[in-house]
Amino acid sequence: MGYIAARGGTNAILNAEQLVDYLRLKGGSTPLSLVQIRDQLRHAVGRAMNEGALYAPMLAALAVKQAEGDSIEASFLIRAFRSTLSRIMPTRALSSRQMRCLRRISASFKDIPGGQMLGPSQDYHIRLLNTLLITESTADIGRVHAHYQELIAQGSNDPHAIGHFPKVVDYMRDEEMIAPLPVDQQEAEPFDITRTALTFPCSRSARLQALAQSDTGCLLTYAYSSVRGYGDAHPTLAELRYGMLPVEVNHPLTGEAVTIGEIEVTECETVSKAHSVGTHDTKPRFNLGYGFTFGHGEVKAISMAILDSVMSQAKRNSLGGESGPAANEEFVLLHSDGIEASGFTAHYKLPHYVTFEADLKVLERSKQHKTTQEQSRLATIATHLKEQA
Amino acid sequence: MTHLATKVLHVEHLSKQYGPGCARCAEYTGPHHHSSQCPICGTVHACVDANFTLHQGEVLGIVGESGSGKSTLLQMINLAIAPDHGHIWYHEPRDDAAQAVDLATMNAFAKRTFRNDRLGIVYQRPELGLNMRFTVGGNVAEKLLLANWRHVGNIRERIRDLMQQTELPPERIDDEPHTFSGGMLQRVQIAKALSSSPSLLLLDEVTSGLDLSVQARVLDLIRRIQWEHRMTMLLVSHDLGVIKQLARRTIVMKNGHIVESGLTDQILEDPQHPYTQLLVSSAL
Amino acid sequence: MTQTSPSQLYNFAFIDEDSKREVRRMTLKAVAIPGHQIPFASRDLPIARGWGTGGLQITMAIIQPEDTLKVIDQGDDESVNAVNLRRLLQRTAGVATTTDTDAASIVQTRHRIPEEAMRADQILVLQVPMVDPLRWVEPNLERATVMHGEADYGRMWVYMYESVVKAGDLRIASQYPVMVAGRYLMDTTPIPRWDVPKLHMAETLFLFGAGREKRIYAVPPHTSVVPLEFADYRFKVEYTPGQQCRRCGATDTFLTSHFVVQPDAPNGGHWVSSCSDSSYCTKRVLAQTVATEEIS
Repeated sequence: MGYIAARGGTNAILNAEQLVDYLRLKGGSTPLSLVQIRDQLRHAVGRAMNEGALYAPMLAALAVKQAEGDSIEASFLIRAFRSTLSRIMPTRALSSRQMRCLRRISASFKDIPGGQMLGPSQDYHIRLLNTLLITESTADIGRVHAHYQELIAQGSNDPHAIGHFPKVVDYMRDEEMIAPLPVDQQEAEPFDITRTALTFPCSRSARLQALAQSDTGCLLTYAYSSVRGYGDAHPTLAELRYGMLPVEVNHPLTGEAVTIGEIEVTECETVSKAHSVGTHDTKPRFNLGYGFTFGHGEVKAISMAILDSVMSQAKRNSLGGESGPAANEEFVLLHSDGIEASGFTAHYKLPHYVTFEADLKVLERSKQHKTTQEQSRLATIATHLKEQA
Repeated sequence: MTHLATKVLHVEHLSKQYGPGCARCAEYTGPHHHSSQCPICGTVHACVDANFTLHQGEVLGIVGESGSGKSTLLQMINLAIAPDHGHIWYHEPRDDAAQAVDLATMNAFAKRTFRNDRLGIVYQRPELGLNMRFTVGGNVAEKLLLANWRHVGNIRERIRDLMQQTELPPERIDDEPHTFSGGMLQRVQIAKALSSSPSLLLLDEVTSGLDLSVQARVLDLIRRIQWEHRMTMLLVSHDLGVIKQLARRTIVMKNGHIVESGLTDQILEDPQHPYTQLLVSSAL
Repeated sequence: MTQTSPSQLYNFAFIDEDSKREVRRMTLKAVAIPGHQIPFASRDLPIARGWGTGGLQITMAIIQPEDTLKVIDQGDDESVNAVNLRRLLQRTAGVATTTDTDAASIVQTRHRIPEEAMRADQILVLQVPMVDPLRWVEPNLERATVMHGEADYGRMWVYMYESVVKAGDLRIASQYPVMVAGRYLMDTTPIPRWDVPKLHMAETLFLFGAGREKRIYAVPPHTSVVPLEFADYRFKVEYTPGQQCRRCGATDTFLTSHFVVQPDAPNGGHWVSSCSDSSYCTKRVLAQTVATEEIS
């Protein structure tokens, strides 16, 4: 019997699952605990949360563990899980003015009301590998804890200890530096991309939601292209804050505002140099870009703010400089979801032999056509030569 | 040849503005103020109360500098821009019994069908009128395909015929546009425009930017087509020389308003409006 | 036929009732406007985007406990991805499954329509990778949407003309564009041309789900589905005279070929063609076996 079909698909899948598990465990090293991942790999956890679009640090830690550190796979797991959850209620509109900032900086002014607070930043680390981390012990961690307890004891009387700061953009608004949101972009209720399919042109809330759950690398690339010249080349960081944001809902019975907890977030606001001109209001103003992530995601928040700004300006035709793909809202938003992009790119691994067979048939016909054309061309030349002779 | 020429197009109070408009707009805009934009509300009055008539077989020139509103007017007649006010009455030349139709009130479907079937347009820049990724033949074929021609052999025969009419080598039917010169691409646009045997041809600065000798040849072609097909044409140009060669009557636009209209010869010999006088004197 | 009890952790057929309602409403809309793309709020699933989440959501939204499900990929029930999707649906819906097209009430498929003509009591759910047939000429969705709205398909016809001119024939191999009910241009998904005629005036309902692109469309029964073609360059299905399935001998099915190694053969082996619809092929083989047994 010459013909052997590919059978045993179920077995293949089960074996594949076992093999993946084996690769993770064959080294025999100590199993990672979720607490370790949440504590010591906080950026991986944060990324799984913001690209998975679900605030759940321990679940994100689980996803990171299960995905063996693959960030798109981890956010995929979270996103799939989110799909199974029923929605209880929306929060009230939150303001980052209520944020307990751990870090708060502005590039727009030398000093800002409340002061610049560098906070836990890796920006000024000199990037040398720290070999002490190889032999880090529980005792070392204990010493760091003790040291911090002392610092906390010393600093608790400082009025800035709570970390509430005014917003730089509020001052800018008072000085009429920032263009107000155009009337046609003001929405009574935000769009919900999980309940309604995104179509274009889309509202700003839809755009921000889509950007907020986009792949960090993708947003970074587009933002980079726009500041290198293919778009709004001169954003200025009005403010970047990282800290804990209280979450408020309306009590289901009394209707009063109730704080149900805090989430760790990063927020970025940029202002652009290109002067946008309103229709009736002819005063030129700066354009505001907004970025937001769960967890500590500065690169993503900044990229998002830049893209928000570029897209707004492009829509108003007030973009300075050469506009590139980053200014095209449809182009960016259709390609920036990591789960969609990786899923489709990877799907080429699925069998395509039916379409390939169809392609082969078309190729054959094309070849025949070319051969026929060539033959008739040669025949015409031959006839001409004969006639001349 | 002795029957009265029938009206093809009658434009009435045609207007287009960009912006909300305010009570003071008229005070601050127009040819006397040398501006189309109201300083109070920012509204741009691209075309204000245009009125004219076009007869079958006639060539009407539209002269003005950039910003005069001539292209806006043309695009409203091309049904690509919706006017804010006014009417575009069309009388079908092939059917004397037909009632006049207000093109401005047609729905999107009807506009598209009409534009494809009864109008032809040629642009200054070929990339506006042609798709550079299709072959020359494909470009000329587009209107035919939109009109439901479904036989490739017949389509190609018609394309070759049109290419010959516009003095293009028919054997280059499958070549890409980027292999053609500027003058040749204008001919391709003309071939495409003529493919549906339109009743009105719109020409927007079609020779601007071409070398003088090339310009002359394209103008010759247009003149020949006008003669052979008794083609009704609207010819937009800033070049009085071109207008003089082709248009029997002309309207002059400034800041969205028609400031003068009449027989081309008369306007050029004896311009009445100061702006026309300026144009004529600077043309020499 | 096999039957397993559904997982207790999830709703019947996995997605929640709200999501099902969304899909069903949009599917009804799609059926009401044949060939028109309906946006729907596609849910994230535990299966990767691009791997069948659209078709899955439709199946999950319409499947009932008494349904019998068949899942195929490239026409084959045993293809790894078909196995996986069937696994998910078995676990979460506990429905009976089958490889026999005749016995199925819902068939979910990728890239093929079963050889056996489907009936009015059956539904075929097709997985869609790329939705808009106008993407060849207009990749911008906003502009393409306007073109569909105005039935402005001129540029697509130029594309077809160009393919004849450049390749001597209509060049599109799969995802062939068709006019549905004389109004909407539709992408038939990567089914071979062989399968396109099956859509025309059929008995069964065809539902098309694109999870990543977030669109649903449909071809209801008895709807005209006409491939774009010219009077002198007609739409042709793939057919090589003398073609035959190596396994069952069929000369009237869509065949795919692969290389079989034979160490003693002159060039190391030979190409064999066989039915892509593997269960139909097996049926034919079994019928022949029974027939020969009956004779002997």
